[in-house]
Amino acid sequence: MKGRPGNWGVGNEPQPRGRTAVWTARLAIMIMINLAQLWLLSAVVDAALAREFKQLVPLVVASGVCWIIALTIFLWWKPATVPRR
Amino acid sequence: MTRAMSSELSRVIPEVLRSDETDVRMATESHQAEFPYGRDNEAQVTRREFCNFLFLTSSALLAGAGGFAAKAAYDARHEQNPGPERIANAEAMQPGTAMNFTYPGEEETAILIRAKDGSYHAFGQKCTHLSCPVHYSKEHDRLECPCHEGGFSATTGEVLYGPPPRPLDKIGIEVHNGQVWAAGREVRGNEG
Repeated sequence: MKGRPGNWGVGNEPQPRGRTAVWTARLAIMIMINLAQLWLLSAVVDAALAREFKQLVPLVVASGVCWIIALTIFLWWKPATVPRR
Repeated sequence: MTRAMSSELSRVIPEVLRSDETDVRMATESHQAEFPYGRDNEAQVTRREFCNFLFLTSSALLAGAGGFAAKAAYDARHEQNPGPERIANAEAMQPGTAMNFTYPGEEETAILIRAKDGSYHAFGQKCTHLSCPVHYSKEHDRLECPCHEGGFSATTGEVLYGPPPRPLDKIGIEVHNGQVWAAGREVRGNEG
């Protein structure tokens, strides 16, 4: 149950507001990347069925760029721990 | 009467649902003591798990795009011109009719049309939009795709209207001694 004190599981602890904002931003960007990749996949299918083979490579490269951005977000764009004063 | 029934139902239904849940909890009480795991916790997804899921989805979408493009390019490079094959029972067709056959393989469906002037025309049956099977419309003398309302010429296979981006695959037709043969399949691009 949400907001139940004293029952926070691992990875579900209350976090400072700044960390929450970073997490939300990460998720929002990841969702946008997923949507862009979904559109790129549909464009690849369209181009392949239309035999527009010249369009395939740029579309796959664009999807790869999206994936690399997602990888960097997944690996490195994490909220930094601020030392307490 | 109706109002009374509805108020009774609105009172009884939550009670029944609640009693079901209570019964389950009572029946599993001993297990819950050993494994204190709440139903509410099960429904929760942490941000970390959701982030992992999104990254996996991103990887799957990249793999899908790359795989589809690679397969399309591979298939285009390895297209071979198939040898001639006789189309059974094509001689018996009346003008203004169509029949389905397979060429060159059993999985490649095609449609043979006998025009009103008696000539034969054959095309791959897969619509070039999203691969739905096209059918011959005798009334309009054209090939129509029922999925997204695409239309093709029954004599040339060119796109008449709708979303298909290129003409249907054309199958060469030869008539020898009254027998109809399919000879070669031409995949056409956007050049018309």
